[in-house]
Amino acid sequence: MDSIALPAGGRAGTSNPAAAARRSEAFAGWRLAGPAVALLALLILLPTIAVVALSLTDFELGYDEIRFVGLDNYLELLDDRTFLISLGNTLTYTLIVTPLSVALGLGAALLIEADVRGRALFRTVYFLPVVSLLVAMATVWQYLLHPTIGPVNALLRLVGIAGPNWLGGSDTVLLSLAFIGVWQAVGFNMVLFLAGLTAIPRELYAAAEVDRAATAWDRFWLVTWPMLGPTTLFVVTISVINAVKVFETVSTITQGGPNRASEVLLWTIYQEGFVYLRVGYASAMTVVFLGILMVLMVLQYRALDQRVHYT
Amino acid sequence: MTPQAWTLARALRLAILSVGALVFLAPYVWMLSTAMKPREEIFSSSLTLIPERLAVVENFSKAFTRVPMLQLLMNGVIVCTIILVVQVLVALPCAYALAKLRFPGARTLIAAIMLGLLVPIHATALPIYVALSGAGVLNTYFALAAPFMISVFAIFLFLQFFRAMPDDLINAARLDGMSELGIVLRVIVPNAWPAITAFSIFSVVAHWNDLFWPQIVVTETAMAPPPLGLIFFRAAEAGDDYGALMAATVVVTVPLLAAFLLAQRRFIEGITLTGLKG
Amino acid sequence: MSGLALRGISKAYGDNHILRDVTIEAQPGEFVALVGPSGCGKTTLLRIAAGLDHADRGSVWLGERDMTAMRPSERDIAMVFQSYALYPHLTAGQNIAVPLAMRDLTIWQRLPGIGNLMPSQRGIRADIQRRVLETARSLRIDHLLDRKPGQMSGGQRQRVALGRALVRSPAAFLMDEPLSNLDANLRVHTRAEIVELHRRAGVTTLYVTHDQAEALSMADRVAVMIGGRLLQFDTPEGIYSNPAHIEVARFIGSPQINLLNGEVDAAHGVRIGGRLLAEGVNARPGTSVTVGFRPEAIKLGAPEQAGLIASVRRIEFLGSETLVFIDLAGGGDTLVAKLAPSDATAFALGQAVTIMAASRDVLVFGGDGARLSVSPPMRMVANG
Repeated sequence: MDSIALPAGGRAGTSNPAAAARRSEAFAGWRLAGPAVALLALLILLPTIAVVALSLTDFELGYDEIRFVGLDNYLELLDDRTFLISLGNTLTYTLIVTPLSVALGLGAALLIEADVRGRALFRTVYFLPVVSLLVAMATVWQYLLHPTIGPVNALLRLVGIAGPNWLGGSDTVLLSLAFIGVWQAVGFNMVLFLAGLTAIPRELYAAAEVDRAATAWDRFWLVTWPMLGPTTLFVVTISVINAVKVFETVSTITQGGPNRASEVLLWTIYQEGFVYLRVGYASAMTVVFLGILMVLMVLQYRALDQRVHYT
Repeated sequence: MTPQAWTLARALRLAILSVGALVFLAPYVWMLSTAMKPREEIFSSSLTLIPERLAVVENFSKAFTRVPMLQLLMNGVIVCTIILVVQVLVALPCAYALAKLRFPGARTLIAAIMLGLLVPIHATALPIYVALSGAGVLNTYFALAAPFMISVFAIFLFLQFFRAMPDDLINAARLDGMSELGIVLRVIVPNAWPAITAFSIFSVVAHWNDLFWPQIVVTETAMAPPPLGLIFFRAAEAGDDYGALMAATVVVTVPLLAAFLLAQRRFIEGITLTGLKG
Repeated sequence: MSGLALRGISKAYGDNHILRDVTIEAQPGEFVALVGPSGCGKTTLLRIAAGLDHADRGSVWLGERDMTAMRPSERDIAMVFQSYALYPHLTAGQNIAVPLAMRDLTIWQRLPGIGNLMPSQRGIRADIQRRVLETARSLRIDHLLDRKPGQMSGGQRQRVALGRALVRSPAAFLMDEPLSNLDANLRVHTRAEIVELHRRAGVTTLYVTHDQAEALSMADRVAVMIGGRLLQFDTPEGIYSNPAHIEVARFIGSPQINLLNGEVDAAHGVRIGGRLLAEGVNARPGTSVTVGFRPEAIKLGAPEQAGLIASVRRIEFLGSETLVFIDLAGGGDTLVAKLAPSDATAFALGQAVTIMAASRDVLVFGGDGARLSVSPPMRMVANG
């Protein structure tokens, strides 16, 4: 090369090496991200739009006719006793499972972390339900809670109590399902809390001791609880979302019964959409379900923004 | 604190944790016990754990013959493998591009991925089902795996991981003459094993246990993954032969449990990592 | 006011001896610096004084009170941590208030939320507020009280940590490298402020640092710890000019002290390469010793003068002083001399020189590292 100086026109022209490098980087970027973008559009974006669109129609699988009905489906939901019961049951279930599974998860994590003895063993035991096939374990619980041959009621008979028909009575079924839900969720919450606990700097506990926080109780409120803030918020959110999504146990054990006492949101959607094939109507339910999830996420995001982030 | 108080606190901790552990283990203990009991004992003495007459062969042979149990397990393995492989193959290059390359639309794509994290399978199931049904591919492995071929969660997780990787590593690879795809395969993947392992565990646990989607697209026992197979088995047995039913639950529960017990640390790390970032 | 005493402290993890029989007694109101390289056990010793760690043997005394078995919260001791250990969810004001709240409020009054409903807590809280403000004013951080640690600079956090320690007027202060996370300028500035604070409060202070300049400039007395042992406990001047051990001499002073291997002759003189460096050394003839002299003790002379022969290898001009590195003839040793810049202009690279030192500046250490006494002290040596 003879000259270092570029001709003035060269900068904007096609020979500009910087622009060429940018283009080739952009090209490589799109090529690598391409498959993901296509699948994202096809499997998430499009179906989400479609579900909103379908919720405005009376589409039923098997019938060719499709008619735009505006908000009729949503208006119908307001009068649908099954749907309202389902919504109420899901709310009750969530209100039982979330606080219990969070509190027990935190309690287990604190107790396990407090001393070395048995630490690995207990962690393993409490975590087992997380990796067990929920359908299978629901079947086992159904046997354990069986009114006549179940060990739980047999145990109660030993102390002279006639146990109820746990999963067969409309008063107890939701409670029993919630119990199984808690049993299943505690281990997951526990490992999240354990991770949160190990991330707390030891020096803060030392400072608390020097600052005269003499009891474990004081140190919990001064250090552990506030430092676990982000973890707790996250655990609560994920617990709520998982509880709202309850399906496996209902589908395996009760199928919404008896008397719709265990009718929950996803089970109702499943019945409407995939059994009765009323796609349009089920889509409206799905949009409501998605709306609930969105509200929960927004709530978490705002709480995270305002209170529990310290830096 | 005096030594006595310490022992008291320690004993209390052990006592509470042990009681909890009993509640957590009870289903597993009774599952095993009942799977070994003959029918009449199940109906007479439900508190005895050790059966008087062993009915292991009887119960397990029912579990393996009333439904094609091996076929069910195989279905589970095949579907989980397809899902995992496609998810990772699609997510890795995309996450790399988003983390280390500058291209127009990258920010929009990241926003779309964050939004995608909020949309569960339950929300998209109806349209996808309608499409699969229209295409006449229900009751296939493809139908079982289709909606999970993209995991926005995998992209998100890998993206976080790759952002923490030094740019100089990639620049050095470029100077050595590697193509962008070559960088992904020879530099990124070997360094991303912890994230890939964690995600794999998460993905397999989620899809091995999933009932919702299989119950929608599969009606034939021969195509069912384990959870759905178990539902079919219950239907076939009218749900009353608890011995055989428990034997079947043992069979479908054991694979993942065994894997967990063998690689506990990885499982817990994987699920914690994926849990905390999700 | 009471003194703080650590007596016969030993601690080991298995075979790893962290502390070996360390005794340090700080007089009432005294500022004592614990200095040593990292891993010497100084932080462990401080944590034992605080009650955060426990010694295998030995006792901790505050005045006449044996605190060995006491928990940190009972000891009436305040501590400033290296990382400051501020509670990130509390404001600066709340952080400073913590020790007072813990001391003055009952367990019920402290309960989050409910505590505000408890009787008689209002007056106590107002009193706590007043004292927090007082302390903050004295540290000039009263404008920061509503900020959280995440919104403050390193220097500001450091002051809040100091405030939290000061506010309850403890019987003793423990500080664990409180300046190590600050940048160089701020460190020198804060150094002076801590000394000033100590002078005003007059509280016995134990101050851990790895920075010898900090230790020498701040403390009334300095304890030098190396390898879990207390090697010397003396005034800064004593530590510097009269080190009791070769490790102390090596650790204190910058640039490092010059050390040469020598031998004791029949007349109790120390010789290096045949040249006599010091006389009247208290050691058996024939023993190997190490001779040390500080860079500023070295005088360089013309080659025809008596002394060790050497040549100039490198000259570093540092502004207020000049360092001259010199190679000893016939050996691999390089020494460094610190000269006034005006004196150093007389030397050039490669120039031959002789090294001289006043005998009172020559330190002789035995094979075990202990200092050997030399007599008579005042004599110019280095004559052939």
